[in-house]
Amino acid sequence: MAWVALPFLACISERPRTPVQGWWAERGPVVRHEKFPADCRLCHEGSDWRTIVDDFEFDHAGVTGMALVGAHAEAECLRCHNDRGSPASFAERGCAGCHVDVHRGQLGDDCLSCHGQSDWRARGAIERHARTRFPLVGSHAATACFRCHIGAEVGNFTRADPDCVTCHRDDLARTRMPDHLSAGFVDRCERCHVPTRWDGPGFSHPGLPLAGPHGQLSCTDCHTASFSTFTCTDCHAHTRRDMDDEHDDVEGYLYSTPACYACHPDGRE
Amino acid sequence: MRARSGFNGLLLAAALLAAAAMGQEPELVRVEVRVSAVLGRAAYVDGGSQLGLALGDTVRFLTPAGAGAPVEQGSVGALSSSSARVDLDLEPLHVVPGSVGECFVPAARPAPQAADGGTLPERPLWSDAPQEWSADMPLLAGYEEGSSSRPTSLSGRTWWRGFYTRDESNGSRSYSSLRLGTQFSLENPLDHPGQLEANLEFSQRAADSDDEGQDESSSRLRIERLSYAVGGTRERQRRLEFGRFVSQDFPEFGVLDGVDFTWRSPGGQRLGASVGALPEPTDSMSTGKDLSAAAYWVGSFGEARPALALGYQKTWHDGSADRDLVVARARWSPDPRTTLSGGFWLDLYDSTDTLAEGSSELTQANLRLSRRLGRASGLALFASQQSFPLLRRFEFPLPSDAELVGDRVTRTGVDGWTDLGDQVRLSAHVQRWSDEDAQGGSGELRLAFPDLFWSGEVSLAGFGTRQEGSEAVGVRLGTLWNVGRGGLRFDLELANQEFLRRFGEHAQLYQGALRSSWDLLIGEAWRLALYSDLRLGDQLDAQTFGFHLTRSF
Repeated sequence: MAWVALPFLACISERPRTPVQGWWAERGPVVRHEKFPADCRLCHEGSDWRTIVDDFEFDHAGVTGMALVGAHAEAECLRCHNDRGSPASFAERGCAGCHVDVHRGQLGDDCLSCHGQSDWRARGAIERHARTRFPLVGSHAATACFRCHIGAEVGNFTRADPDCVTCHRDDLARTRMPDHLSAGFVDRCERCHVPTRWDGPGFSHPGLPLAGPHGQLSCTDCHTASFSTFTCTDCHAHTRRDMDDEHDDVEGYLYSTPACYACHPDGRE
Repeated sequence: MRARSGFNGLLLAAALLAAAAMGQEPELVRVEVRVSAVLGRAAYVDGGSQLGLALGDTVRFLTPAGAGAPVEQGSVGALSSSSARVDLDLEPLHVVPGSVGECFVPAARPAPQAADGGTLPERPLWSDAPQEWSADMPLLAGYEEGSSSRPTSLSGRTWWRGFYTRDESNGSRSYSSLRLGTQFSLENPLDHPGQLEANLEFSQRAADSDDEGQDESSSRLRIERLSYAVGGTRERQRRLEFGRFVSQDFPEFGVLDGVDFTWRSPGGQRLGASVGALPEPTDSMSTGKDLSAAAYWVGSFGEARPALALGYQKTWHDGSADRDLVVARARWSPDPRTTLSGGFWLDLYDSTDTLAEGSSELTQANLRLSRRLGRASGLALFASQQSFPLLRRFEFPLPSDAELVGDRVTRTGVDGWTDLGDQVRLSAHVQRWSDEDAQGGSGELRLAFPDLFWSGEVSLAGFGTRQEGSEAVGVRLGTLWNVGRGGLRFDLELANQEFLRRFGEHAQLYQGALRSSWDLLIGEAWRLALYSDLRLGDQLDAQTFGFHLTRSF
């Protein structure tokens, strides 16, 4: 219903465009001129208060020190200079003096770092995100804002926690190779993973390369107690009988994990 | 007007040259003008091109009585048919409104011409008698709020915006959003001296993913604002607003379903109070669980003096006392080039806040100092700090107790810009942050060349980021073509991302983006923007397409 009603409202609400400089009845005879030049002819036709001289020109930046940029240059003077208060009383609050701060003051008062003055559409959000604790790398740059900032549609962008598990709690719970929860791998995901994919080129096994038969193993086949320790002697391929047979001519042979790793640091024979 | 004046200047120069060549002095006539205003080193006078003045003419101002010798002088810097701005050579000492000035102009100076080349019509002399008026009165009498002297008026805008993103980088995901909304202001409805403000939006959004449990879809009709305000004008010192709205004076207190009352003193100070329910700051804006009562003061002390504001808010969540918040902010422009602004949020805790480490916590603070240096340079320094307040209210996505207590991020940085000649602008941004776990920073250096090859801009930027375990460097090439009443923009970004992982190993990714947008004005009221964002590179394959259509009314 709304999809139909709102465009209809927009289309029937045609209003003749009023001049930028000018006076018209809707604004009411309320504009104070106490700081205007005393010579009325600077602006008004002599016989008609409502008509501004056709070659009227006002150097807003030069006279007031405040340049009118973008849509402000097209705005009717009376949008700011009206009976709601002196423009200075609004200007002293910056943009928020006239525009409602939907960010509730949480993003500071430098609106122009995100918004333009021709329209209010924010641009360059992904580039500016690189200045935060969470640069948008990989798929994160293609993820809709509302997935992390739950109030994005109402201007609430603050306080999305940059810890991966804030959004990837379900991914964490699904891990099996190894089971991260039971292994205590519940934070600082970036120490092992790159932010593009969980199984990407992010993790390469330190020390012993996971090539050949080792690449087919589950992590817990070797890391039986914790991921800071491992065992070479607890699996079917390395039974004591087989290893003793293979090493019967090796002087000083011991059937123990440290001894295995001392002679076979790359896991090869 | 300026072009015409320049043309007149050329004609005058030609006439003078011709006269000189003929060995004749041009006949000069004395033109008398009167100063109507003085602003800085500019004196506005009540004569313009119709009196024969032209750009560059020297105007000499006489003693206040008008009979003495010239005491100060300047040259015409701008003029209309009936007025001119005289840029004084020195700071004005005796030139005040009412001062008389004189200028000698050639009697043969051609009459000013209209923009179409025709002769400007003679304006009738001022015929209205001076009115009795003082500075504390409206210029024109007879104003009655809510009467037919101010008919009902409607203004606002309607927008349609949407995007679709498809990401095939790691599995398949897509996001889409469509939003249709309107914001309008209805003044003096039914001849009542008030203002109805509304901001309504219907939104649909969806996320689809190969990952189990990651899909979401929702449609909402959201009332972001629907309020009615009376008073607050120069004639009415009291202002009352009720409905759903963000406080004009204290947006920090959030969207309110309630009432806000403000009283303004003749000196410009404002005292206010509000009470009502606080909708959640999420897309649902569900309301009723949180209540708020607040009081505030906004101090305005005139130009070049600080504007201060101090407020206190007490909230309740599901009937239990929740937040005690003190907010202060200040903004000071001691001169037109300098602005210092800042503020802080102080959360007060009591014995029911079991996680609190003290009786208060600075949960937000920010400070920004900006200064323009010369005509085309500027510098801005900023610093901020944020931490999670202890809230019963749902505002953040499930922070753990440890995050609530320990999380704190501090940012400091500097922005600078300068024009290197007419065709090059250099800007730079450096920022550093630190939190409870790590620290990092970013920087960007950008060169922009306006109107280099075409109407628009070409820019080249280099940027980098660094934090524990990762760093990135990249370049961004941007182009903007001004086409008709719009602009075409293309940006190509290339970045090298490096990651240092737990065991001292590196991973390297090359990623890029090609962004394009087309902004155009349609007629007087429509504005359309179409945009796309293509992301390519190692483990990255995603595209976004979107539009933004706005109509003002």
